[in-house]
Amino acid sequence: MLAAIAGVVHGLVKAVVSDAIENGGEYGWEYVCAVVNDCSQHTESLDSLVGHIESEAVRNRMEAMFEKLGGSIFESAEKCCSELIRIAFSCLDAHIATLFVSQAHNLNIIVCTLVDYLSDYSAGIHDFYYVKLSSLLLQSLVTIYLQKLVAGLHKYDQQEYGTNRISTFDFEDDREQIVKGFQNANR
Amino acid sequence: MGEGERASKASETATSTAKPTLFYSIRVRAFFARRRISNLHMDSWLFGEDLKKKGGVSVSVDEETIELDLEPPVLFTLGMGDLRQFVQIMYMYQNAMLHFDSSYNQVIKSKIGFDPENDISNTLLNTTNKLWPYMPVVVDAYVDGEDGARIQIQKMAQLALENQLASHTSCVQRMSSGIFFTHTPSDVWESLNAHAEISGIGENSNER
Repeated sequence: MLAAIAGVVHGLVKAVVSDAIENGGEYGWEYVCAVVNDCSQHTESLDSLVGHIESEAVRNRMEAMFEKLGGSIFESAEKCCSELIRIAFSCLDAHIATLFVSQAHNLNIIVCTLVDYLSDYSAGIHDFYYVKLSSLLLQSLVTIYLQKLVAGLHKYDQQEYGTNRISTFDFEDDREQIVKGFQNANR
Repeated sequence: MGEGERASKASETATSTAKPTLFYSIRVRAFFARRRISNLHMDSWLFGEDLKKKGGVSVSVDEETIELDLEPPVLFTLGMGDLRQFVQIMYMYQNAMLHFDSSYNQVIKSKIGFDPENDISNTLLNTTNKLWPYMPVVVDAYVDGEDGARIQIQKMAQLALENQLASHTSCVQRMSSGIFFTHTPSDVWESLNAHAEISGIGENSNER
């Protein structure tokens, strides 16, 4: 019976998460947050179910299976967090394109937008997943920043006196902007 | 033999016996005298399978063997509620027997003293639950039967999923703390917990 329950919960979470990832942009970030929180509730209910098994022998046997299921639900929730990050970055394509290739170098706009999204997410998502989401968002931003830096270096290398232009960007200022922005969002 | 004739013959056979209801008699005997009714028959009875598929069966009623060459109908099908109660009663019965056995042996040991070389206390009350071997069959019927718990919870989860996918954003609620959620997990777990009780989850599970 418990195995049947585990199977049903796994199938339900997988279907809901797949739909949220596929159509997250259309449904809005609120819906994706709700799916993440629902994953959290499923995990709590599973833990509670195992905790209430009276027979110790049965509980020990079921714990391994339910732990695996809990891990699978956590992975599904993480995929939803990635979708939330995609939503946050979806309106920033034009600004990301300016990094290291134009004097505009709109990193401040990018950071402000992401911090704004983070403050929305922080209110709508459980703390446990917010920490994960915040960390993933910072990781994505730094990755994009470095990718654009490498792309810029490559571009200016092919020009006659291009490499010097990279040095005109203030990396320390960029780092300060990112760190301060994320520190403010996580207060 | 036509279907109508078979049915009328079955009806005559049933009414010609001394017992008021032949099938009631069969049912009781299926329960308490499995030597007389094959395991196949017992399993079919528990699963509510159509015995027509298995051809005629012979059953014993009051020490006489009646050959049922007619196509016997399904005696009856146990519903989920009946199976559930049956499982619960069987566990209670088994636990009670083990408890009696253990208590009795402890009392005897305390009175006659424990003698490891001549320990007769374990043989004094040798209780056996002869219905216990049927538990896997009953549990299988409950979980994987034609309309068993597995199918029921799958249908329920499918319905909950369809509702959520149909309503999308309109099903999103917000707590006073600002956390977004949907009602799908609580709806689903209400039903799952009800089914889980039979797995020895205990009364405290209602807290969830």
